[in-house]
Amino acid sequence: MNTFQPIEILRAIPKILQAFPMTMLILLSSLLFSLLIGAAFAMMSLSHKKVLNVISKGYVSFMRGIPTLILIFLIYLGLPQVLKRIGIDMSGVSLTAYIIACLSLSVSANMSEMMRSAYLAVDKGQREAALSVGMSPAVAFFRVILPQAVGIAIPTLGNNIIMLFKETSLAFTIGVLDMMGKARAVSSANYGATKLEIYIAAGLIFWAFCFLMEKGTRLAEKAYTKGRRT
Amino acid sequence: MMVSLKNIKKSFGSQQVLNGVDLDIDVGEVVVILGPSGSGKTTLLRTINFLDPGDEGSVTVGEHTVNCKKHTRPEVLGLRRRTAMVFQNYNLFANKTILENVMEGLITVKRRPKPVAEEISRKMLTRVGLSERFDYYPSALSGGQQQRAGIARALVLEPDVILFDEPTSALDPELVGEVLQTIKGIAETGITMIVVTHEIAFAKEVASRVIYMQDGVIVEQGPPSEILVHPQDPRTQRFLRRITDPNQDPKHIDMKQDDPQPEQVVEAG
Repeated sequence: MNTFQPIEILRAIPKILQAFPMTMLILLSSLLFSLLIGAAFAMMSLSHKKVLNVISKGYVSFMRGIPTLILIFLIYLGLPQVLKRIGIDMSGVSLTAYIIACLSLSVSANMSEMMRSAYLAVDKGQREAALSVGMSPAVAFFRVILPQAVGIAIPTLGNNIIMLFKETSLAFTIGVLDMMGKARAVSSANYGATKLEIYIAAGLIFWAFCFLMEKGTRLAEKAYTKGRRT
Repeated sequence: MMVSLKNIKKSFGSQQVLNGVDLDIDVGEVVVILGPSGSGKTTLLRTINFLDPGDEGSVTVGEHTVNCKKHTRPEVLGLRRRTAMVFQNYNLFANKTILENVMEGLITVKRRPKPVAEEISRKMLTRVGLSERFDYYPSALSGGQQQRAGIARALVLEPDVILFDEPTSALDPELVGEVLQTIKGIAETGITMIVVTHEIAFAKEVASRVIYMQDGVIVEQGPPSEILVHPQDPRTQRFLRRITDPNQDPKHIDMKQDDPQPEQVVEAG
């Protein structure tokens, strides 16, 4: 009796999209924080101080190696227990905040590697030229190195954002009503009778946005490096 | 005195590259530094603007003296603002047009208003023969054009001294002439220049003084008519013999090859 009804896919799409703002909130906040954290670790890995290199390497290796889902469970279930023992109560922290924290940490490792390699990809000679002209290292960085590093990083950044966007769907695991959480809620509201249609709808929505982001990345890259490349 | 180097020593790891170099250069001198690869000539040039700070000694440009061992950032900045450098690989800013490359120093370092900087830069680029190329990015230009833009970028800052680090070594042979011609034109304006090069003919024609370096020390120096024609030191003589040998690529002269070496046995497997 459980027949496949394509029309249910179309019905599900607007319902799932109600949670789009939540997914966007998670995506954009995690993006911002992961860039900040990533920048800090990229700076450490490029520093001349050995200790900082080691710390950064260890962090990146750990965060890249651990599945995001495990990280979410560790932080959402484990961290409050640990902190409770030393007298810090985490019960006031919202679920969304947990998810944003976990995704930020997880993606920051990739962001850090992206920034490090983009920085190193800019020819060292240009930095020397900037210094020889009399620019301070900071001015040389912001006027000469950074603009080129950004251009180099755009494709990787696009990939990282797409990855992050897909990982926002893990938010449902701790009960956040993102698009995935919404899909589950819609599905269970009619006792799972249309779950296939609903998850197809969810998949289509994610795919459509990823497709747009891919296009956006290409456009951004083209616009940014216009005329400069050999 | 325009430039004064005192007892410059520098090593990379265990490799001693400069073994106590003293050098005084007067206003308006065109000093050409010759020497085999590994002689320390490029490193010497780079210690002057602290791209590679010396381990010991001091650098003076104009009235500004900086100690190699103990120096602060503002001191180094002051030194760099009195000097300019032309690089072997041009090192133009790839994200900026030729015009912007030349303007960059005027705007960020000399704090000239943009229209003024643009006007000065256009004039300078016209002077090096690039008036048709203002809005081109470096990647769209030939090596010779890029290097002339690099020269314009250095010259526009009106430095006390311009440092040329093998300015023609990366160029295709047919482009060397136009760049040397440009450098020659600048030398005639009376600006102080230090040029590291392998172009003996250029040294003969343009230099007011030729310095021969080997193994991190100045072996011999004097006017080109003496050093290039009647060198006193056997090392200079040998170098000049080799560099004028038409079968020798001047960029890859290794003086150590003069010592007879046992043939290496290549192990099988």
